[in-house]
Amino acid sequence: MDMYFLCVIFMPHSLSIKDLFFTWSKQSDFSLRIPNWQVSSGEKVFLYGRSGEGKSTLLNLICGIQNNYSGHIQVLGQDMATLKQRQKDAFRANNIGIIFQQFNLLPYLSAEQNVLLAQRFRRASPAPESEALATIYDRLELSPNLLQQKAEELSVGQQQRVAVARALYGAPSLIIADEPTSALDSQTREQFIHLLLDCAESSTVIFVSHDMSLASHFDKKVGLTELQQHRSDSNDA
Amino acid sequence: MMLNVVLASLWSRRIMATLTCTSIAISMLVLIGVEHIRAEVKSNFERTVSGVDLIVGSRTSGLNLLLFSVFKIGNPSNNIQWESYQNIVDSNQVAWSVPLTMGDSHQGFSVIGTTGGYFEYFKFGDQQKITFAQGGAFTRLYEVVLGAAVAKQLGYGINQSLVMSHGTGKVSFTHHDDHPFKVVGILASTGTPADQSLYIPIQSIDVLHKKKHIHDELLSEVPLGLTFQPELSAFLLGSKSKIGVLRLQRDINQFKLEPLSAILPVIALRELWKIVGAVEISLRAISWLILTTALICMTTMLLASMKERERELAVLRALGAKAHIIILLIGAEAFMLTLIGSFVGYVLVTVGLLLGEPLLEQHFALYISPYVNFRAVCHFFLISAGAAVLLSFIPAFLAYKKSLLMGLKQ
Repeated sequence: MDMYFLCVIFMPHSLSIKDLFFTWSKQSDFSLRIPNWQVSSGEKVFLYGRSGEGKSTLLNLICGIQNNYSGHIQVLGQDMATLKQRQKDAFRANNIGIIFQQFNLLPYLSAEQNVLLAQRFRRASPAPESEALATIYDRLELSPNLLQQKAEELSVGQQQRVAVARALYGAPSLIIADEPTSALDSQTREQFIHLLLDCAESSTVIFVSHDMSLASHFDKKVGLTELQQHRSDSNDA
Repeated sequence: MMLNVVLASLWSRRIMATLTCTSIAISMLVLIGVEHIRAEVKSNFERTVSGVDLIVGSRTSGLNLLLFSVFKIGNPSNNIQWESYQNIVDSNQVAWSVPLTMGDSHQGFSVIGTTGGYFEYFKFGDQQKITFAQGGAFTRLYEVVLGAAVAKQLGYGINQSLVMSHGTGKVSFTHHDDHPFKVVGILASTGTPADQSLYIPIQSIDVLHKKKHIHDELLSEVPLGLTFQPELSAFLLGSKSKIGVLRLQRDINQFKLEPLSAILPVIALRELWKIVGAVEISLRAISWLILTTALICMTTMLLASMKERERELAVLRALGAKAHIIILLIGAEAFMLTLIGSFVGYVLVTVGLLLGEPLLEQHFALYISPYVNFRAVCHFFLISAGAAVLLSFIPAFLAYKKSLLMGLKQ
């Protein structure tokens, strides 16, 4: 009953972080401390931060790849700490679409095989709807010809579009993009962000970048420094 | 789908993978080849002679006697006088005897002078008698019986006329061409050195060497009278009782008229195999070492490929691949490389033996079946595949740890 109640309470939040503390080791200088951060369902968030500030670590924590933290991380209402590693992997496969900076694809598979690979690790779900897939391809301007090409033969821009298609495939509730535009030139960059946000309208998007000029495309912008700052203020109070 | 990924990934590194496969194939070739030849030689070895209680020759080592009398390798150190032979054979312990003379050849195959008793008493394998594929034993002075391999390789048939050469080389300058022999029988294949010889009546060898011309005649019941008193290279004996064999051997070894040696073929074979066995063990050790090297090479290749596969693994992790998948991917790769390599090695051995068999047969009288018994060597496959998978845990574990440590960072 309690669990159900909690779930209902947290439902509107795609992401909810409370009193998160993480450090690599006791000797390490680096630590990440986020007292409180929520992302509402369907929100498009721009998360900026300097390099080395812990953006990737935060994403790893959210995705359930990095462990051994204290505090609470709830993704789509699920408390990540209660999951075993393999459950986290399955959770990630089912609910989170991830786009990297570059090299998102297995170079030796065709673009289409790369997209379909996402299905491989999902829990047994109904056969992929070819219509939904066709719509995604269509909106991302991925021609059948292009889809048959090997990933390594594509340009970086094309590769990133295929990566978006894969992240969107299966309609995950949360999409995490880790500096996906840094390998693109400024024109393709704009185009790419429009495509991503258009296609992912029903999902929550957390877009990480150090490039503030992109922030205007998003509902909300958050600085990692602010998120951490918040902690000292509240602690001092 | 995952198999697809493994295959596509391997294909993208095909040069490295091919080289690794080749090194495994070659080491497998050595391993299987050595093992197969060893097993074949050993079984051939044990099959060469049976049913003979004693082999007697002029005083020499038991090994030498066995080698020249049965394997047609080397030469007798001295001949046995006819009187000595008569003397021993007259003993009431002896059930039968077959005299042998050697020293002539035909097209590189040794010519053995003997009596019809040879086909009766000389046995091979599991007490199997020599049988005739065509014709029968010689009954006249200038008749010859061919071993199966001789007939096959020289393409001779019944009634063919041949000329013997003096000496055992393939090229001889002395031909006994005034005494052509007629083929009257061809032996069925035995898979022993017996296939590699021609058999003529012992009297005719003597005639050849004395350079006397004697008209062809029927061999008499008591063929070796005063006219024919050849010197023997060796003779085979059968004892009346099993217990009598050792006594007979001692008597022959202490023979007064001339120094003789008598050996029990079973024991001599075993002694000879012991000598070969030492070589066998070192060959085996070497082939295992080669295989180990190949497997370590493969591990090195896997380790080297980990650097370029880091991104690949990060992508898979991001897609929700459980960490074990990474270990599985790398293990599967090692398994496949080893299995393909092993199979290629197996095929190479078979092809090599198919091509090399006639040569081995012709030059070394080695009868090696080109068909490797799959079940006899499949433990090599399993051991090497198992070892490969175990070894692949090294790179796989490192990759796994790294993928956890690195997270999604690229």
